[in-house]
Amino acid sequence: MRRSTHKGKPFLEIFSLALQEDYRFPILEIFAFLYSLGTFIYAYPFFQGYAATLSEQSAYSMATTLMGLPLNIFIILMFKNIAYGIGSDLEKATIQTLFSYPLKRHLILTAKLLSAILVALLVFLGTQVSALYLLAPEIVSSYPVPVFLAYLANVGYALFLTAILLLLTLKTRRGGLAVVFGLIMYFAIAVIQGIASVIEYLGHIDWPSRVMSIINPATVVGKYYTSGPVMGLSSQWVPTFNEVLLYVFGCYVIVAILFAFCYRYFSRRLSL
Amino acid sequence: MNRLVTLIGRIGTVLMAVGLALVLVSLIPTGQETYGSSYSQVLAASHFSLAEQFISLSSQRGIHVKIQTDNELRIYVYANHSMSIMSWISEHLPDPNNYSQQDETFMLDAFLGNHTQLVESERNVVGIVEFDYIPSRLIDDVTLIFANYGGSSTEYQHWISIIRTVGPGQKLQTIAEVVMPLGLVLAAPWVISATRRKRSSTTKKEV
Repeated sequence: MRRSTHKGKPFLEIFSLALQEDYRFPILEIFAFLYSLGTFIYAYPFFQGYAATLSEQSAYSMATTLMGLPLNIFIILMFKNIAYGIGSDLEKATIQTLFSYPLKRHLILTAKLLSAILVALLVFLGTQVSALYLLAPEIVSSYPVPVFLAYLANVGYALFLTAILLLLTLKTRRGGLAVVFGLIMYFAIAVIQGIASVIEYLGHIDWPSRVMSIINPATVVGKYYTSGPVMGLSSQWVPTFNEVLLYVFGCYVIVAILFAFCYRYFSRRLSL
Repeated sequence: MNRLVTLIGRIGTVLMAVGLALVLVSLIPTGQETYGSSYSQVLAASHFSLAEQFISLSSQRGIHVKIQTDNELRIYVYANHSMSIMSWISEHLPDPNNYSQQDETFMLDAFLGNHTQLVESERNVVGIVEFDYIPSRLIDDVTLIFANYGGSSTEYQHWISIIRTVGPGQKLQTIAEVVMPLGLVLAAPWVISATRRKRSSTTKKEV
């Protein structure tokens, strides 16, 4: 008991320092403002069209429409926190001060990640869930599964990108460089995903979309709930519900492996 | 203690930022566009008529109704298609062979008495009256019911426009009215302590 209290205080100290660094006033307020504003502005086209009906497809479309811009803001916020929070600590060697705390390295990284990812995730999901219940409570309560899967898949993809960025930050020890790589990777994946869809529709092969679904399970969830033809071309791959769950689970396993690798590197190999 | 004040204070400032965003969304002006053409009709005493609107409505898409009538009419906004009304009435006619009764207000009253949960709003109108109807939930079909409970026939004309809003303005304003003062109360101790700290550090520098 005494031992856990002994460890708890420095952990809280580092967590508090990371929070102060990541969310210096008014960064968090600006992001919360943008999340709220973006959610309602992006919901506008959905509720003006004929998509807003009581159906599974509509529930999925609503969730993806609402999280359009806020998801990008969420990813940018996590990138900033990782690259400029952990990255600048490594670059300026201030991480050595943190290593002087009576804490194991993996706990230091946990405190940093809790601030960088969990707080951003809480603000993102808090705004989204409130907006969903405010705008269309009957769709959410009638069809919670598509809404839940849409968020699970997109957050999984965001965490995958963040894990890669963390790995790059730890390897290069330069936050600025890592964030540039991260943004390039983010846009490159989006372009590759577009190419995979075109290959699937025109080349009548489904493996590119299957591969992309491992990285971004939002692809497979989208295919499951919107199985109709896109621009007159029918999808080659109509996944089953179990396949959807498998891909989403697979993405989280990859994310867990990447974070485990980051922890291992930070705890054992990182030398300053 | 200081950390707790900072944490609560920052939660307060975040709530204020969210409230500000909600106020901003609710202030975005609504758009209005004409839907269909105007309809003119003569309604006999103790009769009703239906005008189904083939549009789905939501908290961000409502209708604006303008009506001109020479005698008093009662208008109901019913959240379902007109077929559901007519089929219920034809199944419950006191005399199944007397179809003339299916347009009479006593049958409408019987129907509405059994479907109160779908009556979204009701009002009496006379002369030129305009009103908005923005539902708080998703509605796939909406039907306007015009009922003449008077003793003489009435001529009326109505126009429908679609109202488009970015967010459910009234709801957002209500939430902002709660969230912003709450945020202010939570943030106040942190702002005061931060100001004091800043002042004391400035005084120390001067000394």
